[in-house]
Formats: sequence, C-alpha cells, structure tokens
Amino acid sequence: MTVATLWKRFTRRRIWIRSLVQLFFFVLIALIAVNHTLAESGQGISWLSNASLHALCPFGGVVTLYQYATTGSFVQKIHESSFILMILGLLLAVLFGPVLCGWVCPLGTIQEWVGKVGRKLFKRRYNHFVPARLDAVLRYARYGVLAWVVYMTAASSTLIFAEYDPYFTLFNFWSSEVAIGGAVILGLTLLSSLFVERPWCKYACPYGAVLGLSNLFRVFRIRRNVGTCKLDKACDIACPMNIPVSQRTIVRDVQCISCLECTAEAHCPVAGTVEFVAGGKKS
Amino acid sequence: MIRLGSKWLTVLIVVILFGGVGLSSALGWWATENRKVPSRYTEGEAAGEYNPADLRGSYTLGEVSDLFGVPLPILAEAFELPATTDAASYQLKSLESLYPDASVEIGVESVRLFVAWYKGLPYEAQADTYLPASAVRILQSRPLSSAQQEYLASHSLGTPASTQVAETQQSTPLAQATSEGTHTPSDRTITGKTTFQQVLDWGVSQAQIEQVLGKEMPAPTTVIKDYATQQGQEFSTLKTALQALIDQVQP
Repeated sequence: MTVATLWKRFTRRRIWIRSLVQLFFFVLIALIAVNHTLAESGQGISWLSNASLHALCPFGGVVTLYQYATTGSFVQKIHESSFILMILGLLLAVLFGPVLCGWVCPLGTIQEWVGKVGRKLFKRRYNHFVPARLDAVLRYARYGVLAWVVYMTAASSTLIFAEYDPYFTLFNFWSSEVAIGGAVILGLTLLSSLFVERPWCKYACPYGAVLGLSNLFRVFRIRRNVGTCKLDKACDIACPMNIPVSQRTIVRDVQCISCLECTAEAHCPVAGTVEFVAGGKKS
Repeated sequence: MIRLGSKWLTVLIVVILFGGVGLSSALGWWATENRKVPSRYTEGEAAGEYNPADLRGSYTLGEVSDLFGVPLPILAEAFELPATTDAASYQLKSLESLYPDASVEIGVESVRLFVAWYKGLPYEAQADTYLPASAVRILQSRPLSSAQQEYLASHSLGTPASTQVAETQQSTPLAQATSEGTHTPSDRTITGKTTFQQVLDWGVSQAQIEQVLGKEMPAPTTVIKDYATQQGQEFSTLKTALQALIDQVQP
C-alpha cells in the first residue's frame, strides 16, 4: 500500500485535519505535563513550558470565578493563565460552538481513540448501547456535576475537582498528586469509551456543560438544507454525540461539539446540504 | 452567508488560542504560577499599599521582606528561624512544621499579622492567631495601640523546640513554655493538635465537616493539621473554615 493510498484513506470522508489538531494538542499537553515533573527536580526542558496542568485548564477559570468576584484572588493552584484560557475558550464557543471539546481537549481525543476500537468491535451497534430514555436523562448529569464543583470550590476555596478530574489524572498518573478518585473515573471513562463515544463529555464533563450552552447562540452553526437533504441519516450516524441532525434545520443541541463530521465536508453525501455557516436565512 | 470549512476553522482556532496567549503574554497578563504580588488596600490611609492579608504560604521570607520593607533579619528573628536556615528562601507554609508541638498554630496568618503591625498597616487580628515570643517582643517596641498591646500580651508563644535544639542542644517542650505565663487557647479553638473527634464533640456534624473537606471525613482520631499536610492543603485555610462552623454552634 503506497503512502498516497494511505493518505487518501485517512483523508476520505472525515475531517482529517481535526485529527491532526487533536493529536497536536494531546502531545503538547503531555509534553508540558512531563516537563512540569522534570522541572521540579531541576531537569526541565528550558524551551518548553513547565506550567502545571491546573494553570493550563480553562475550567480552572470557571471554578475560581466566585472567589475572584468576592475576594479578587484565585483559588489555590489557579492562576491568570486559567482565566485567560477560559476567556479564549468562551470566545471560540461564541463564534464556533464548543470547538475546545471537539478539536482541542485531550480527554475528548483519547476517548475518540479508544472509541475507534469499540467501533471496530461492535460495528453499527457502537455508540447505541444506552437506551434512549436513560440516555436523555443522563445527559443532564453534567449540569449536576457543574453545580457541585462550583459550589464546593466556592465553599472550600480549594480545587476540589482535581481529586476526581480524569483529565488531570491522565497527564499526572505518574505523580503522587493523583487521587484514587480521579484514577477510578479515568479508568471508567476509558472503559466506557469502548461502548459509548465520548461518555465523559456526554454525561459528566462540567466544562462541556458550560461550553455546550454556546450552541444556543453561536455565530457559526451547523445548518441543514432541507431542500437538498436526502434524509439518508448519514449525519445522524456520523455524529459522535448522537444528535439527530437529520431532524434539525439548525443544530442548537447543547451537546454539539462542532466536530463537523456531519457536514458535507465529511459524511453528508450531498454538497451544500449540511454546512457550517454564519448569517443567511434564519430558521 | 459565510461558509466555514475545517481548514479555516483550524486556522482560526490556532490563531485565537495561540494569538490570545501571545497577546496576553505581551501585555504581562499571562502567568502560570503565583506572581507573588499581593493585592493592595483599596481604601483608608493605607490605600495603594500592599495588603499583608494576601500573603500566601508560597511566599518566602525574602519576598515578604522585599515587598513590605521589613528587614529580613527582623523576620528571621521574629519567627525564630534556626541559624542554619536560609531565611530568604524560607517559605511561609514551612513555619507550621517549625512549631510541630505547639498547642496553637504559628503559620501564614502569624506572618500576616506581624508584617501588618510592624508596618503600622490596618489588620484585624483573628482570635486564634498567635505569634512567637520574639515576634511579640519586636512588635512591642513599635508604636501600637493599647488594644494591640493587649492582644499581643495574650497571644504569645514560647520558642520553637527545633530552634532550641539547634541553638542550645536542649529540648524544652513548647507546652511547658506555654504553661509558664503565656496564653493557652480556650476550648473550642482549633489548634495544631485538634482532632476531627474534638470538632464533632463541639457540635459540628460530620456532614458539615465533609462539606468543608469536599470528601469523606477521615478517622475521627485524625489530627486536622496532619490531615491538611497529607492532602497538600494549607492548615490555616482548613482551620478557618472549620472554626467558622464551630463558632456557629452554641457551646
């Protein structure tokens, strides 16, 4: 098999550049996390950031909002960088929806990687194991997690979520900072990813809960052209978040992660039918 | 209508994220660790001055000296650092371990109080904040109000055992120094030796404690200070939250 054939297969019918962006951010965050550990023993790489993972987590900015508003200070371990990343994440979300989830977040990326194994194992049953009624209820759980994290952080002035955060565990599993709760949740998340695509994002991620709200008002949105749609449901099958795109004109579902897999650039077979657009006719 | 493809979306994501980080760096806003610059008073005669209340455990005595203009030897003497210790790089959070056997806590809160009163800055002392005897001696030579003098007289602690060992090769228990004329904390006050069981005995429920901890309470016999150390938390922060619960309960 030639390189050209491999590349064609890789780039065919999917947003291949998203995979590259995801890989880039996964490697970048992993390298910074390792460098953080090395720097503590004086062996860090000088040209690479050795910031702590907390400093590079935009959700840290969200959980420290209350303390910042009331005392002007940040929760322990949270710094200006988290705040700035939170603002940049919100700006991206207002413009394009939760692209941080679909394109950048390494935890989302690793769930997708494990999900590829699940898709191979279960074919079309993959991502359809959870009964629809139960799934609909569980989708609200991440708002409960969000409320709990924000309240507990405000009440204790400490980064409570770090002890349960699978993202923190993923890039600190070698350090003594990892709590058993985080390790268990990461293990369950990766195991569940064999059956459900992005289970953490769907049911538990508090930051995804915040960013998901942007789907209600974002500038660029997923739009389906009813006139040219063949109703073949290719978009529904492609959607990692199980959104029934074929039943929408504009996708405003709070679970959309703007991965663009439903668009004509990827799985929709009819050009100009499912697009990522701004302006134009409102539904 | 504007259509956006994946390649342009990639460009925009990268430009906004890295451009935003670059711009904030250029403006001096980007920081991935503590800047070590405390907030300032916003009102009163001290408006514009650094506020010692914002000192954190990660500050070193050298940084405190630079920021507040308190001479480093004074700080080292006040907190009775062993002569072999590098005072400039000594972090405030380490003070708690310098007084391991103290019946009251000497820590970040003590430094905040000392610096504020040494510099004549407004600072409301908490009832459970104590100072080493030498810090009290130094402050008593400064212009203080009668209320402050009174406070110091009842919130003084003896010399830390580790310093005594280092300097005199004798080990005199702190408890003895405390009982010889200095103040002993009243009941219902969390100290370095208080256990979770005592907090329960003072009328705080396990659920309330767990709410503060954000997790299950450890064995009731666990010393709170030890728990904070194990969890990597500042004892003073945990103590303040639990003490507030105790204060809400009628004895």
